[in-house]
Amino acid sequence: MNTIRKRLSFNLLLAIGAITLATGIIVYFWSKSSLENLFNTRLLSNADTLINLTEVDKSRIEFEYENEIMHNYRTNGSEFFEIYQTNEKIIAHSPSLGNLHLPFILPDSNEPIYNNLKLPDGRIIKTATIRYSPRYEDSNRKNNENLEAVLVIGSDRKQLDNSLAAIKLVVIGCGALLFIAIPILVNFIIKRELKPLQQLADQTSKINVNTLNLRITANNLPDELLPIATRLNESLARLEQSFEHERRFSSYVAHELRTPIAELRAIAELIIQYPDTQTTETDRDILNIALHLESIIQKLLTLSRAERAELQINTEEINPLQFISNICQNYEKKIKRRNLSINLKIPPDLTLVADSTLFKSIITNLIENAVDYAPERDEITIEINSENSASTFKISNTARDLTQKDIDHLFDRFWRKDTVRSPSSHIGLGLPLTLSIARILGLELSASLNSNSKIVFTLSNLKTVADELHPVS
Amino acid sequence: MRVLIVEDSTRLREALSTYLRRNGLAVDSAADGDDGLFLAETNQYDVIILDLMLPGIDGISILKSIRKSNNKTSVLILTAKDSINDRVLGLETGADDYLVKPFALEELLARVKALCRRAYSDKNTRIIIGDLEIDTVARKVTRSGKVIQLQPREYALLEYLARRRGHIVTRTEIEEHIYSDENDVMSNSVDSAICVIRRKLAEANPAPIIHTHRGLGYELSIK
Repeated sequence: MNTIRKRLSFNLLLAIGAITLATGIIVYFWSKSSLENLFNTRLLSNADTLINLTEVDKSRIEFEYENEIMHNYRTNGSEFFEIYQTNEKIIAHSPSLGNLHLPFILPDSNEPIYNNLKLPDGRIIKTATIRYSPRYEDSNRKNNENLEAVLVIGSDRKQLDNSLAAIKLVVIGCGALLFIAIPILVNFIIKRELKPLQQLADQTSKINVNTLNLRITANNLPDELLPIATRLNESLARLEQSFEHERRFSSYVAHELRTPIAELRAIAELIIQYPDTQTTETDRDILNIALHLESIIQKLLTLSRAERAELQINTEEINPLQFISNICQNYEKKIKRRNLSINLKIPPDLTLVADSTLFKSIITNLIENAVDYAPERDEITIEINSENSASTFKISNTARDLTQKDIDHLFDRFWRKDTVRSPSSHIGLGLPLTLSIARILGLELSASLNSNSKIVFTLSNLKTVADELHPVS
Repeated sequence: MRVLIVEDSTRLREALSTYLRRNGLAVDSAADGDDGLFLAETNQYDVIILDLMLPGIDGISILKSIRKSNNKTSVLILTAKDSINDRVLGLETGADDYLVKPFALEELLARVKALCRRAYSDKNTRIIIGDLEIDTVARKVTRSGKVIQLQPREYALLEYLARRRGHIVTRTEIEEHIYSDENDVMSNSVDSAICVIRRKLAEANPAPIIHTHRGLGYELSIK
């Protein structure tokens, strides 16, 4: 019962059933009332005729029997009447009654009193008892004399009862038909109208960790379900991206750890099998592998802390020209060896406000990448542009092997261009770590590839001293 | 057997080279893709152990290049990439075997030997020629039931001749398969080694089994 379809069917059937039953009852009783009224009207109309045939002559009430209009009151007729004086003395009665008498009731007013009677022969008749004043022959009327008579008129109600029985049969028949048809129709309509919801449920149930690439087809969905499908698809896209990111990360971690472990294992197995191969150099190798693994783990931990924003920030004023020149000096030997040149375009009087340790970590990583990956004899351009309240740092170098697709993965943990191994000191954690630190500092770090095959790293939102002293209100 | 190792990790490359040499294989090595491809195209190797992620030309490109030039040398891919897609790509590009890092040296050696046997269409690990029996797994040589003690290179030379039994093998072929580029092969190195092997075999049975074909080379057979 815990499905929308079943609950909707149950409630609809209950509601429609109740309405149908009520309608049937109303129809029957309304029809009965109408027929009874019609019957009564006819009875009263006949009564009027009989009343008109009653007159007072010489203080005596007389009934003038007219054969022409009395054919229904003949013996074995279906109409009956009996006229009484108020003292219950019978004035006249119809031949159709034979020896029978209709019961005398003296009404309090001129309003007719209706009754149903069962005749000895089994017929059921409806009677109207009417108290009335017969007309006087003007010449015969004594002063203030007002004689009254009581007319009891009846009619066989067989036809009325037959009609009512037929109506009852039709109402019950229709009710039975609806009782069968409505559940079928309700089920059919609900099933058809809830089909999009069922399709949505079917499509959603097919989605799991391994099928995150599936999307909900929104083509034939009704307006009510469209936002659900759209949001679901958006969430799926984000989830797929996130899973893919994690899957890639796991793969990269495994890959980065496999080579040093393979080295360690090979050296160890070699030494065990051939002890004479153990030298100071192999011992140093083992130590260096351990240090390399430690470095990977350390960087992963730092990255994790940076991503959880657990790094402490202490801002201070920095002269970027001097700051960056000092960092570049650390790479002087490598720059000379690779015939690289560095072009610094930084205003000498510019002062930035940042956490010097974290800012240094960002700049060092970007410069180290440029120095290691730029082709020999390349020029590395470092510039800072100040505009209004923000400064932007840019570093660019030639990167012929990179494509736009690679740029999208540059900040993925452990990502390195797949086909070509980069210098061994890089393990693919520098840029994601740099990005996380930049975010902690409220900076924006992005990478782009320009038409000259130059990769440009842009660090924006750098605060200047002027901003700090004269904040915009 | 002559093997080429193309691996950018110096430590792994050196450990592998030492281990394979100690097991009687002639080993050349390259630290990047360019050198690896040059050596693969220049020399004749029985097996090439190839890393996929290399500085310069990557492993898959080297493999494609080798196969394109109709070089049928067996290639064993040795890589940290373990996904099904990578394995399928490597094997479909023309690799004969695929081993994921980290690995056991013994397993690598067994796979290299299996590839060598396949190269000589010989699935048997025991070579029997008359009363000479060579167990290529245990690297044990017996003649007339007597164990013959051989140096690794002598063993490699005898196994190479035995695998090509009944055929004349030239000195150049022996040099190419038994000696690596790192060995300075003297003009009479092969002759000297043959001489030592003959002497050691004659101690068990004086009947000659390695025959010299003047100006052509050597043949291992029972005549």
